[in-house]
Amino acid sequence: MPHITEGELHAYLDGALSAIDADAEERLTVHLERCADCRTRLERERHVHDRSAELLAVVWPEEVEVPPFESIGGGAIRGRAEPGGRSRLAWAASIAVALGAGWMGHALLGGSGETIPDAGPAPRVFESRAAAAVVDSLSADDTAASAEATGGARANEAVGRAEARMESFRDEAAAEPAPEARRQEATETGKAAAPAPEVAEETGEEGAERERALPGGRPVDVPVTTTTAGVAVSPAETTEAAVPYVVDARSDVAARGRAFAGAAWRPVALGEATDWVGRPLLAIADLEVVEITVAEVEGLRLARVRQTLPDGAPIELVLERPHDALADRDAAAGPPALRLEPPASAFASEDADVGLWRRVGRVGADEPGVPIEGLRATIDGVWVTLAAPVASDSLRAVVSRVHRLERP
Amino acid sequence: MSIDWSAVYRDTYQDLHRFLTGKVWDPERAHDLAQETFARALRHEPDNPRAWLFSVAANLARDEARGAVRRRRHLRLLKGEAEATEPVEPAAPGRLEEEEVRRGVNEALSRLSERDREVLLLWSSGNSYQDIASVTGLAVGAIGTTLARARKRLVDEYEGLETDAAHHRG
Repeated sequence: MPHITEGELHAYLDGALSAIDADAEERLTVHLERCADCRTRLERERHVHDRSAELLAVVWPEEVEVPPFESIGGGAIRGRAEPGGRSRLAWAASIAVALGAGWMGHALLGGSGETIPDAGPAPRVFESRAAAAVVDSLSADDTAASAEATGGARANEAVGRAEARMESFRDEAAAEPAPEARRQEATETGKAAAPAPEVAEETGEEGAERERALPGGRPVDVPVTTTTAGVAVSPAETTEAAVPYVVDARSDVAARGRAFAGAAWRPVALGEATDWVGRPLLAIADLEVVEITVAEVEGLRLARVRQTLPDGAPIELVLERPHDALADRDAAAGPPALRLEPPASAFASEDADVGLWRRVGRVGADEPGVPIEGLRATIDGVWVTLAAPVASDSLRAVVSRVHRLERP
Repeated sequence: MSIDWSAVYRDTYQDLHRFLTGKVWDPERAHDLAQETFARALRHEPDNPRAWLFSVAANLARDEARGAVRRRRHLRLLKGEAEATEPVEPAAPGRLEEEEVRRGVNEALSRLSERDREVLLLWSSGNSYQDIASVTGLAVGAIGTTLARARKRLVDEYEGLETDAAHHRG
C-alpha cells in the first residue's frame, strides 16, 4: 500500500475516514502498524491538528447565549403563520423604505432654490474636530451594533414595539410580496445552492467595481454644533435600537420610487411646513437652510429641508409625517431614538433592478469611506431620509448632528 | 418533508454563530448574521437545513467581512490623529496576553486563503466532511487535504507572528 496522504491523516485524526471510503479506516490502521514513517507523520500532523484547534478555541466565545427562536428575523416565524406569508413588520419596512426611495428618485438638486431669510451665518469648518466627530460616530455605531446584534431581549422589545405600532394597519397590510421580493428570494435560494465565488481580498474586483459604479463622493467636514441665527436648534437624543425587521425591506422599492419621483414639492415657510407634518422639522445644525418644501404622496405628508454643506455640496432631509395612528403610538413609545437602516446583513446578493435604496443600504449604511447618496433613519419616532454626495461615514456623522428646527 | 425548525435552531445556532464569528471576527455581529440566516431559512424551508444555513451564512459573512476590513482600516486612519494625544491606559494583567493571542490568531486566520479558512471554520463549527463538501462544493475526498493545508498554515503563520513579536520585545 502507498504511504498515507496528509489529507487521509487529517481525516483519520478527525474520525472522518469513513466519509471518504468505508474501508479506509481499517486499511490505514493496518498500514500504520507496519509503517514507521507514516506513524511519525501521523504524530507530526496530530501536533498541527491539536495546535490549530487550540488556537481557534482562543478566538471563539466558549458559550453563546442563544436568542429565543421566536426572535428570528423580526417576526419571520409569525409571518409564516399568517395568510399570505408576509409579516406586518415586513410590510411596514417596505412602505418606509419605498417612501425614502421615492424621495431619492426625485432630483437631488431639483427645486426652486428659494432662500429662507435669516437663515444664519456661513458654516464654520473645524477639520480635526470634524475627523473626531466621524470617529465618535463610528464608535457609537459599533456600540449600538453590539447592542442590537444580540437578538435577545432588546431585539424582542424592538420587534414588539414595532409590531404594536403596526397593529392598527393589520387590514391594510399588503399580503403578497412584491414581484421584486419574490425574485430576490429566488436569487437567495439559487445562491445558497451553488458555492459563491472566491473572494481573494476584501478589496477585490467586485467591491472595487461597486465603488466605481457609485457617484463620486467626498469626505465632508462636520461643523460643530452651535446656534444658527434665526433658527433655534435643540439636540435630539440619538440612541440606536434594534432593527431586525429590515430583512424584508427591499421589496418594491423601485416601483414605489418611480411613483413618488413626480411629487409636487412646493416651497413654504418653516411654520407652515411644521404644521404640515405636525412636528418640528429636522436639519443639520449650523448649516444654512436653503429651502423648505412640502409635498403629499399617497396620503403621506412630507417636508424637505435643503441645506448646503461647507464645501457647497447640497444635503437634503425629508421628514415623513407618520400616519395619525402611528403618530399616536410613537408618542407613547418612549424617548426619541435614532435608528439607521438597513444593516449590511439585510442584503446579501446583487440584484441590479431592486433600486436605489437597496444600493444605499448595502453600501452606504455600513461601509465607511464608500460614496453614497443617502441614508435613512428614524429620529424622534419619524422617518428621515438624508441625501448628499458624500462618503457614507461622513453622512453617518452628519446624522448625529441632526437637530430640531424650532419655529422662529 | 416537515422540518422541526425549533430543533434545528437549537442544534445549529451555536455552531453557526461560531462559524460566523470566525468569519467576521465579531461575536455580536455574528449573532446578527446567524439570525438573518435563520430568518431566510424559515422563508425557504430548505430540505437540507444545516448545509443550507452554512451556505447562506458563508455568503452573508463574505459580504460582511469586506465591509469590516474596510471599517477597521478606515478607523485606523481616522483614529491615528486622536490617539496621538490620548494617554494609553495600562491593561489588566493577564488580559493583555489573552488579547494578544486573539489578535495573533485572527491575523493568522486572515492570511489563509478564503477557501482554506472557510473549510477550517466549517469543520471547527461541528460540520461533517459531507456537510463541508455540500457547502463549499469541494469533493468529500478533498476536505482532509484542505484541512491539513489550512491547519498547517494557521499554525505556521501564528508561530511566525509570535516569533516576530518576541523579536520586537527583545
